[in-house]
Amino acid sequence: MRFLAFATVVLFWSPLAGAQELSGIAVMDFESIGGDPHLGPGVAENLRTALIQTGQFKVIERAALQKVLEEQKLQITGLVDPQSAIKLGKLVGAKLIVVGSVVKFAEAYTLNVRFIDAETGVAIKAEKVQASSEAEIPRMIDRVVEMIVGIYPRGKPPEKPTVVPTPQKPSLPDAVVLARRQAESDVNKTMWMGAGCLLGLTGVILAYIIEPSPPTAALVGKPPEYTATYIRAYKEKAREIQAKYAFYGCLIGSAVTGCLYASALSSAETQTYLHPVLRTR
Amino acid sequence: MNGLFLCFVLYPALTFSLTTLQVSFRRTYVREGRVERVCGVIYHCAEPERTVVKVEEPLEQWMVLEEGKLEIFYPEDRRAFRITGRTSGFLPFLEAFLMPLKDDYGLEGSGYSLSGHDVEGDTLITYWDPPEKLRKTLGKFILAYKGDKLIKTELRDPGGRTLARSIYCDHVPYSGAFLPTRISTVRFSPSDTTYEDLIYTEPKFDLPLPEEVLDFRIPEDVDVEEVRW
Repeated sequence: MRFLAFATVVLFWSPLAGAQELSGIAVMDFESIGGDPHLGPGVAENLRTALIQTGQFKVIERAALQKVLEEQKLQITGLVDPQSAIKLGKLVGAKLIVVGSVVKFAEAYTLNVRFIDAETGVAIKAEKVQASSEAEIPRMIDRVVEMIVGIYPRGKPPEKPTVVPTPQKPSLPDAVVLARRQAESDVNKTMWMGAGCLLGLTGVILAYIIEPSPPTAALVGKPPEYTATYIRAYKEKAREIQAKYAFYGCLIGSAVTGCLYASALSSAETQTYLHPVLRTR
Repeated sequence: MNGLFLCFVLYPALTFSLTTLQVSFRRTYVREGRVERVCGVIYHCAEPERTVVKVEEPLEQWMVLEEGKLEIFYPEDRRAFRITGRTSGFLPFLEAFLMPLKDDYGLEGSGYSLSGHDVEGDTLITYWDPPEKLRKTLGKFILAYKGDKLIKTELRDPGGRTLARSIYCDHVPYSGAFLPTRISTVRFSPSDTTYEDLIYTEPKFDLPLPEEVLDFRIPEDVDVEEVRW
């Protein structure tokens, strides 16, 4: 099992194998999503420094990259046009291009990095590193460096390069997780809350009756067990969310109706109370 | 959000005069460091409308879409699903390939309105505002054309952050337009970033489709699981 895991890692990473084979790594400025716009470029710069400090890679300087990008009018950020990647690789002498993004959501940070074989323009590996606070960003960078350096120890003879990543077989737990996540993203919670609010219990019943629609794309190329599990998990989760929000809407609607009713009653009682007074006038 | 993006932007009916299409595809999908690859052939017939996706890797799978129902058949396992419902008629690989044939990527037909443009060298960049009802969840949609070739699309959220971006290249001419045979897409979300690379090869337009595809039916001895959505 261990050997299999190791073999998978080696195969998966073999385009990067052997620091001696890498004439250079180009780390592009990372995109900043949801946070300080300077965060992405800052993280990329720190990654360059950390890679240089390992002494195992020739890291292309940011200024050199910028110059080539401007001269050639290339745009290489989170998503890389394969031809541009190949062109950039040739111009700066890089065999590997690292692109990525830093996503800030609430206080949490996610560093998405992607490694592109500059000879083919193909993305050969993607990784996601998460941190719960800004203070952990240096650890995220170290983690990326570890991933590269750890797989190519010094003195290890280079493996034969291959650009084809090894696809993993989709697993049933994956189907459940992905289906639930997709359902969470797809269900229009506001709409169901509104339905519950306006229609009351009818809205809640509708939320149970109406069948949610899983995305067809998620089923392409998947085995039958995965398809069946995905459909079931998606529908269960989507229906649960629909019903939950319709119920919340129903509660809000009932509370508002109750308040209005109480207010109307109170107003009627006040008028009744005023009658004798008015009469004394 | 991606589902929303696909439904509202890519779903509009394909109205151009394509009679048949046969094209091989290879989709590489990278999520959380995991790579999924699917290869196969798409067959599309406009009249009567029928789309067949024959997946060859990583397993053999037939997906047949016609008359509002989607059938999925696994020849090796002798299993099948029949999906009927509101949105079963949506195959993103086909739509992604053909959408550039529509004027302005079909945005105007989907209720988007042009809000501005820029010219950078020989590239025209247009900015589109979403329809009123979608403005709480979606922001601008950006199209970039180099000549007649669509080279980039980008979808943003109302705060201006990028939700999804696609790059189109290796175009082939068809009916006065250019179709990209490579579409690379990145989708951002708070919890995840995914990458998708779609490569189309050997596109054949308006030629007769193979009989085995036109006549394909799930064998009668196979139990079909009915799914309603």
